[in-house]
Amino acid sequence: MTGVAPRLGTLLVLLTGTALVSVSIGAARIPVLEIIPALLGQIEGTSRSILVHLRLPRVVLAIGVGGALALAGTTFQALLRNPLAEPYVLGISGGAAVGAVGVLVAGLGARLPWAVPLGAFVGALLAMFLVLRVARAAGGSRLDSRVLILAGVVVGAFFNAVILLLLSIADVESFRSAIFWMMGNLSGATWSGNALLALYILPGTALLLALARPFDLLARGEDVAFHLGVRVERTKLLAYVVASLLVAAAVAFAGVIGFVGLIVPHALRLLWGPGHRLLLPASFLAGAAFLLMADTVARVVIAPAELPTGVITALAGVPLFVFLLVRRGVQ
Amino acid sequence: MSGAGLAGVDLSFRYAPQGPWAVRDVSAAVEPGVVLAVLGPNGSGKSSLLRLLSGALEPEVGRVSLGDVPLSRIPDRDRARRIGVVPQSEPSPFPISVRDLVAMGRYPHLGTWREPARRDHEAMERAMHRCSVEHFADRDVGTLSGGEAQRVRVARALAQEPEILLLDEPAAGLDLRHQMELHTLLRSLAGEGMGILLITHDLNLASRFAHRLLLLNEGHATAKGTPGDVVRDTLLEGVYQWPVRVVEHPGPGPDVRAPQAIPLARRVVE
Repeated sequence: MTGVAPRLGTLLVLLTGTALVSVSIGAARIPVLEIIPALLGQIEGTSRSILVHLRLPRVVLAIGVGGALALAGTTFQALLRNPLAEPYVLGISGGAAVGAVGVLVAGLGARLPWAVPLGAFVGALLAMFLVLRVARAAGGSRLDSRVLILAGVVVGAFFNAVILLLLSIADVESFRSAIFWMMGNLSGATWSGNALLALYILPGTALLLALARPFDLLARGEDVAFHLGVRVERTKLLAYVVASLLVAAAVAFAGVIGFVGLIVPHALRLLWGPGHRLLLPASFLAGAAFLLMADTVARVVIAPAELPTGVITALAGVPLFVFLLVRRGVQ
Repeated sequence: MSGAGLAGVDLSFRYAPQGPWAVRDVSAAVEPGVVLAVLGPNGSGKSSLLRLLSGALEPEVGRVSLGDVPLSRIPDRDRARRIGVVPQSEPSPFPISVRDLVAMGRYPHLGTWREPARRDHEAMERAMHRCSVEHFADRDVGTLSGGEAQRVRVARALAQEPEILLLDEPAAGLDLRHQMELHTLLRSLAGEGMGILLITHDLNLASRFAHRLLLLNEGHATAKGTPGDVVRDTLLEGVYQWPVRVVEHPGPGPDVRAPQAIPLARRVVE
């Protein structure tokens, strides 16, 4: 496994650079060189206020959400051995959306700012629990990856029907906010929300990174992994639950942001191969940088109004991915 | 090598409750220094028996023990340091080099955190050398021939440095020379004290290279013993439902006079 450190270093530099640019540009420009003085309180006024209360929390949220989604995507692809696996493959997005849309349609969203993230989080957990239970019951106590995918699709379809039902009885105002939430955006970033998110993302990321070697072995089949000493069922259950918690936390604060968790792991695998000791940390860093770029574009392109970030990730991510795929096909 | 080997006693197993038995009352011992060949028609329970002995399946009746300790009580990584398994086939969704695949054999010794040290690299190099795969160590396993890929998987099991080696049809798809090389390798590993079980369809190679044979039929152990005990025409004809004639291997070689079963054209027997 050559070149883990330099490659991660490259991504870290990319992420840092993106963060600086993202903090700097927007409706009000803050020169890069003034960022540190402003943070230290040497420059007072609106710049500092924009920086501390708007830009920085949003940059931190983008890093956390992008990293968590890409890391969860890599995990699901490794465990399910399915290239179409992504963070929402087990129905988590559907569950989260039912929670959030339910809160919005009930008219609680405007009065209680934490109600939407809470509803989304609870819905996501409910979906995860349901899918794992269905898969367990159908797979005879083992977590069969094909059964899991089917359970995810079916539970997701059910939740989608519930969402449509909720939307059909919603008034115009909550209909609009519900649709916006489902497209995914980071405009709700706050320091307290970020602190809560970090409670999930920091330990969850550390745990998944520690599973790199078992993931490498599981990619060769569960039989092979078992014969090489991996505790297969325990590892799978732990990884599914931790990755799902990461996704649930990310969705709670940012809505359903698509494509980051599908495209970033594939792009890195195409570029640098399938070894998880590089792939797992690299997908966190690259996912963070990618979502940060997309969010910056979403913020500035029609400023002072903004686009939903989830739309940009798809618009930019799909052509990039097609390029990588075709390039590899040609080689 | 330590321990008194891997032993399954009176094993019974079925895949569905109340379903047909895949393995019924079979005992098998994989002892240090001994090559045991498991033979039998398709669907006779050979692979199920291997999976029971490897711990991948739990017997419904009977017990499996490794050196007097029940196998199910041995932690997974400890087990993988002592029992190496070469399954029949495995998925290969992503490209991987020969060296990286063999390195996976060190996982039971390394665990999640420890970096490979000199003795790990030495074990890998030794395993690759034994299986003659070192000259293509940097190639992608997906580009190898079936025989080469099979040797790489045996090398991965040897990198585990196990005292017991279980192989499911390791010679399937190998040409004559590679078949002979693989069986010679297994025999010499046994000579160094390893206990070996291999599943095979090749009665004649089993008779020449294995110390003991176990013939399964419909989940039952129909015969077990030395090649001379098992490779007998009436016995084989009953199990395989096909006429055979047993002759002696003409030699020369260390296995001269090993019994060899030659299937006859059907019309010879009325």
